[in-house]
This record gives sequence, structure tokens and C-alpha cells, in this order.
Amino acid sequence: MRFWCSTLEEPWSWNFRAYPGIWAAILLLTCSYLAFQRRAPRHHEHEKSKRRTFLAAVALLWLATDWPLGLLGASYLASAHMLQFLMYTMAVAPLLLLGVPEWMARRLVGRLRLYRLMGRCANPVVAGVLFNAVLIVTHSPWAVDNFRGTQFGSFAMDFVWLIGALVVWAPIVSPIPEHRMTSYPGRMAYLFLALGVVPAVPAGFLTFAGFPLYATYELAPRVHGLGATTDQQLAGLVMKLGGIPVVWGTIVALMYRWSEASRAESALVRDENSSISAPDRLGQSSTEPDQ
Amino acid sequence: MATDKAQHGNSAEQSESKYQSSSSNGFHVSSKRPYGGVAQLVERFGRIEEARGSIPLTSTSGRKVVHFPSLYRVAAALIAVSLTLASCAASSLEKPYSGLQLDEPLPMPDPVLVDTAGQRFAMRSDTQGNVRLVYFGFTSCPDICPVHLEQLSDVLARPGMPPNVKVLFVTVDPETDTPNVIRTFLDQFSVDFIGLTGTKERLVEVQRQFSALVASASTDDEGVTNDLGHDGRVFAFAPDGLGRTQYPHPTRQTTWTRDLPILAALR
Repeated sequence: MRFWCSTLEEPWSWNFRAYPGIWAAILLLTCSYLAFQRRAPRHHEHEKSKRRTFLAAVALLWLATDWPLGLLGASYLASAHMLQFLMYTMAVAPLLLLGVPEWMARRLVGRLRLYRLMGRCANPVVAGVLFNAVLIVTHSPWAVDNFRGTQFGSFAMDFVWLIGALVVWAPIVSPIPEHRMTSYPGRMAYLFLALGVVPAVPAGFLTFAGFPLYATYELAPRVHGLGATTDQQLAGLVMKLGGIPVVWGTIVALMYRWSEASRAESALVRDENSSISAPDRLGQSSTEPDQ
Repeated sequence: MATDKAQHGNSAEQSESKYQSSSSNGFHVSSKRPYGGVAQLVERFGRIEEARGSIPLTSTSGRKVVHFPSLYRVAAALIAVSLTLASCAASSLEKPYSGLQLDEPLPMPDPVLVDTAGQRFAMRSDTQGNVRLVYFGFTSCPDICPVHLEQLSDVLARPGMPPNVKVLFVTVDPETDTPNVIRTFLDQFSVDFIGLTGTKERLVEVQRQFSALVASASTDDEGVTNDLGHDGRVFAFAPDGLGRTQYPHPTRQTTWTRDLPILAALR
């Protein structure tokens, strides 16, 4: 029995395979969260929506890591590997961050003495560069062919993906407010550059490469007759197009909030002006008779 | 499956034996001292060097002194490394094929089998002027047969590939693989691939003629027949009828793309 999904040399089958390491990791994450939540300070006990978000993120993490998608991605299909990465980056990481309440994040970060490190990583330039470095390194043929071959390597790759994804989303949805970017245009530009533009480069390589890049997937037994080149092109498309709904959806949501905030601000200014100008007008009218 | 893997490519065994022989050349250290070999080696090396005066292990004050190796040593090491790299590069340039190169070219045998149309087919005479890629497999093979054929199909469909390449798929399971079954299987990859069959005895003889490992079904302790083990190599023969290279599983498309035009030009 294997503890983590890694490359197999046998043909793909839909027979269930158990990976206890993945179950243990998922259980550990869930139990730690629930145990932490029991010690919530007053007025924070009933954060059901946060809990639901966190549990949804954990469920997606499980889905992306465990059989069948985990095994397909580790051993047979480049497109499955890319789908896993997309789920980690576009769904699991932002939901995990949204599911952690501020008090819990502060307590955790304080206990692990990670406040300064997290602050630095949440810097948009650092976060963007780190994430894209992780993306490029973990999708290089050398890394995929070597790391996916062993259980520990495969685990390390999944772990690094998750950390990279958490880092890239931190400037947008970090549970610690001072680590988030404040400007709406800045956030939108960051999302576009860090998650939209740079990942398109390796995606282009995959889509338009003359040969299969990864030996792991090129030489794996075929899954339902899907050829290695077609699979790689599919992987490139998944990488290129898969993130668009999340990135652009978030940008649209930010734009809407920005417009709402601007509207509220201008309304406030108008109110203030009107409240200031009313006594002025009164004052003026009071002086008028003298003139 | 176990047999299938055991017989696929003997390169692994060769490399294993190579490692074994190199490890047996290691020098021995007498084990008079109670501590381990590495510690002894370090101490021994240190004493020799200390006697030469190049590495003082301790200074008079008792503190360890570390001397950087002299510039000459660094230069010598760099020269040695660059010479090694240059010789490696030269040897790779000398090697004409990326596949497993044979010491002596072997002439292609010319056995007569039956193709998927039910016609007699002479493997060499009926493919004159072509590169022949001969592969012994079976249609229900779950892993390497479809991978090899898929690779060849992808490679041969690429622009710039020579048109005179014939893929000859010889079944090692004639009872299951009827001509129709073979045709249906091969058509998944290419309609141009040639499928061949014959009697069981004849096919064993053909495998021997090509110096292939003869396919056999493995049985477990309870007498249950498992997967069929067979040779995983593709035997390549140039248009001049000589076999110079073989391609074990796994062979990447880049290897095929490099070698096929070279083989096709050998007339």
C-alpha cells in the first residue's frame, strides 16, 4: 500500500486505491481547524459561514489529491496533473484563506512566530514572484519526472503547490487585514499579472510543444486511448483557460466593490458638502437683508 | 505482469551488473579499530597527508586549521573535469543512434508469416527499400504494446519523417490474436501498420531468428496463468537489410525522430 499518489507502471484501472497518507493529512487539517475553533474567543463562536468555506476547501483539496484524480495526475495524464494544480491554485487556496477567521490566523501565526514572514510573503511582488517560480519549477519536465516517481516527491510537490497557492492569494484574501492590499486597482492588476499573464507562458509551451515534454506521461500506459501529444495539448489548454473564470470573476467582483465604494464615498462627500453648505446658505441669507 | 516487466529490456540488468562490478573494486580497510570504515579512512587519509605536510590536522594551539587547496590543485581539477566532459561530448557525437546500438550489424531474417488479409508475407523480401521496425507483442497487452505503437504512430505522422518506414507487428499470442483482431487493434494507431501471425511453433521460431526473448505466459503457485511476458524491444532494420539498433521500452518520441531519418538513408 502506498501513502501518497505517485507514478505507477501498471495500466490505469477504475478500481479504487486507498492512500492513507492523504486521508491522514486531510483529517489532520480538519481536526486542527475544528479544535482551534472550539477555543474561539467570545463573540466569535458562531462563524458558520467561515467553517463551511474551510470545509469546502478541504473537500476540494481531498478531491484534487486523492484517487482517482491524484493518481491520474501523478502517473498517467498531464491534463489531470494540470487540473489538480488548477484546483489547488484557483479553488482550494483562496477558500482556505477565506475560511480562516482573523483571530485564528493571528493566534496560529503568533504561536508559530510567522507574522513577519507572512507579512513579507504577502507583499504583492514577493507573492507573485514566489508563486510563478513554484509554477515554473514544479512544471518543468525534470521536476515532474523525478518528483512524481516517488511518494515523498509527489507529496512534496503537492505541498509546495498548496503553499505557493496560499502565498499568491494572501495579498487579496489574507485573514490578517494588514497583509491584504488596500487599493482596488492594485489588487486587480496584481491578479491579472500574477495569475493571468505569467502562467500563460508555460501553458503556451505545453500547447505548442513539438514533442511530449514529460516522460512520465509520454510513456505511461494509455488511459482510454488518449495519446500523449493530445493529452499535453489538453493540459496546456486547462492551464491557460481553466483559471480565467476565477481570475476574471474576482477582478469583476473587485471592480464592482470598487465602484460601490467610490459611490458610497462620493455620496458621503455630497452629504458632507450639503451639511456644510446648508448653514452657509443660512448664513448668507441672514446677511442678505443687511446688503 | 511480473514476467512482462522482467523481460522488458535487459538494459536495467546490464546497468545493475555494472554497478555491482564497480562496487566490488572498492579497496579494503582492516577492521582492527572499533569504529567504522569511514572514520578509519578519514584518519588514514589525514595521516598520509599530514606526513606529507600538506594538511596539518591540528595546529600547536590545538585548534583545527583548514588550508584551502592550492590554486594548482583547483586548476588541475578543472582541467580534469573539462577533459572528462569533452570526452563525454565527443563520445555522444560519435554515437550515430539514440537507440541501443549493436556491436555488429545483424542481417534481417526473412521468415514468411500471414498478414491480416490472410496473405503470405515475407518479412524482409516484401518490405524491400524500407526501414523495418519489428515488434513482438499481443493485442491484449495492457501496457507497453499500446505505448510503443502509439509512439510510432505519433512520430511517423510528423512532418519530415521518412515515408519508407514499415511497422511490422508480430503477435506472440496467435490463439487470441486472429488476423481480424490484430487489424482492429492496429487500426487504432495506424492503418499502415502491418500485422503478422502464424502457428505458435512458427512464431517461436521467428522470435528466435530475431534473437528476441521468446514470449511465455507466467503461472503462479496455484497454476493460474498470468499475463504474457514478451520482448519489449523494437528491432530496427535499415533499407540495406541490416539491423544496427534496437529500441527497448521506454523509448521517447525524440529518440525515434532523431534516428528514423538516419536509418532511412542507409540504402
